[in-house]
Amino acid sequence: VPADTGEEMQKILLAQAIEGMTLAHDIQTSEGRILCGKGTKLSETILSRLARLEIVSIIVEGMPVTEPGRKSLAEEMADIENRFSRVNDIAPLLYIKNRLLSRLLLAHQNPAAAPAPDANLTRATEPSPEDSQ
Amino acid sequence: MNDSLRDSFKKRLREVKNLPTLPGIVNKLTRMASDPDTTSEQMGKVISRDHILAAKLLRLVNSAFYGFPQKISSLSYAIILLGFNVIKSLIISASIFEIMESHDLELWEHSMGCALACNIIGKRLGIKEPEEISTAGLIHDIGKVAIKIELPQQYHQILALIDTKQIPMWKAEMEILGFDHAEAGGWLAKYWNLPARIIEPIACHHDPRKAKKEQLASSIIHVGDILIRSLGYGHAVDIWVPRLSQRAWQLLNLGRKDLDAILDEIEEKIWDIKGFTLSIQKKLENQPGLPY
Repeated sequence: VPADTGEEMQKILLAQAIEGMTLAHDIQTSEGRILCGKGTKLSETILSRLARLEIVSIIVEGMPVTEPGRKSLAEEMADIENRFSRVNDIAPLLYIKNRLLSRLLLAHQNPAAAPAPDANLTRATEPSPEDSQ
Repeated sequence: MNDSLRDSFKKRLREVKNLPTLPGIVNKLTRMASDPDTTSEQMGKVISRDHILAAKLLRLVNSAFYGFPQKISSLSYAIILLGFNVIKSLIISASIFEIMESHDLELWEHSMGCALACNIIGKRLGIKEPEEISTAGLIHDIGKVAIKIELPQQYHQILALIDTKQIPMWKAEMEILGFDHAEAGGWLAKYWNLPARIIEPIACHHDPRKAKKEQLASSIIHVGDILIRSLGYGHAVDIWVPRLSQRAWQLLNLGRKDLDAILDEIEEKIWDIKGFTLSIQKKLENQPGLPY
């Protein structure tokens, strides 16, 4: 994940990219070679070239793609809490939950509120008798 | 749940009346595989005669959940790299998941995500044949598709029960059918003559302690399923992250560093799967009037 410069940017699938969007980060090959630099305005030619190179996702400036049903921070946090609501006593899963929450907060540019993930990973619980079949 | 009801459901599932019949090609390939003189070129040629199947197989083989560094463009090479059991499972999943693509894309995404997670865990642990692990991850929920297709009425009852009682899917399945989709998936995998290394992880993905021979593989699928659900790639009304088996976790023996590296890699590679799902979605939008 690239360093946060405070400017708004969005990771999108190449299939979602359209002419006129601006790259917020370099596009690199797996070997680290730069294919297309930060600041490039995307054209049809560039897009089809990237498609031929089988680039999957890119990072562009702004938030140009709105996914239907995109949720607010509060809703996303509530989703995570709800999803993990039955496993809060299982250390490795609690660790994952805290990691997700802190990533989410960071992504919303509120690093101060991100809790430090801290959990003892060695402890997991067996599914309780009523949980196992 | 009385036994006779359970048996009748089990019988209906095993008849696999409504699931697409496995392409005749599977039998032909199985016969060829048992002949030591068969070459992978010959097998590749047989598959290539079905262009659509061949294209689908290559797409699956080249997807993130096998993680080969280079693109594989020939089927005979894919057979050498992945082994016949994996190719056979892929032919089965290509036909079964055809249904899923058109009416349960979420389950297909969950399945591919699980395959990816299993592959990454398998490689981290230095497993010898991570491709089989990925494949077991890919088809671990095949029992769900079978229940949905073969027992549609009961499937709706199961969904309703999850909603009213707020219980996980397998519990609702136990109440309505007397078995869960893991067990059902195990029967199907056995019926299709898949190897124990794939059958057991499917059948035991809710409780890997039940595995007799494939404890480690079953534990990887159990954890892979939980990881991908943790990240929000679950299925339908059963939204909760399942409870992690202590035995499975100990067997994998992953530290925080391992877990971080695994999650980082899943989060990065999940984009390939999102791309896969989006392209299916677009394809479906462009061809209205599908049979499902």
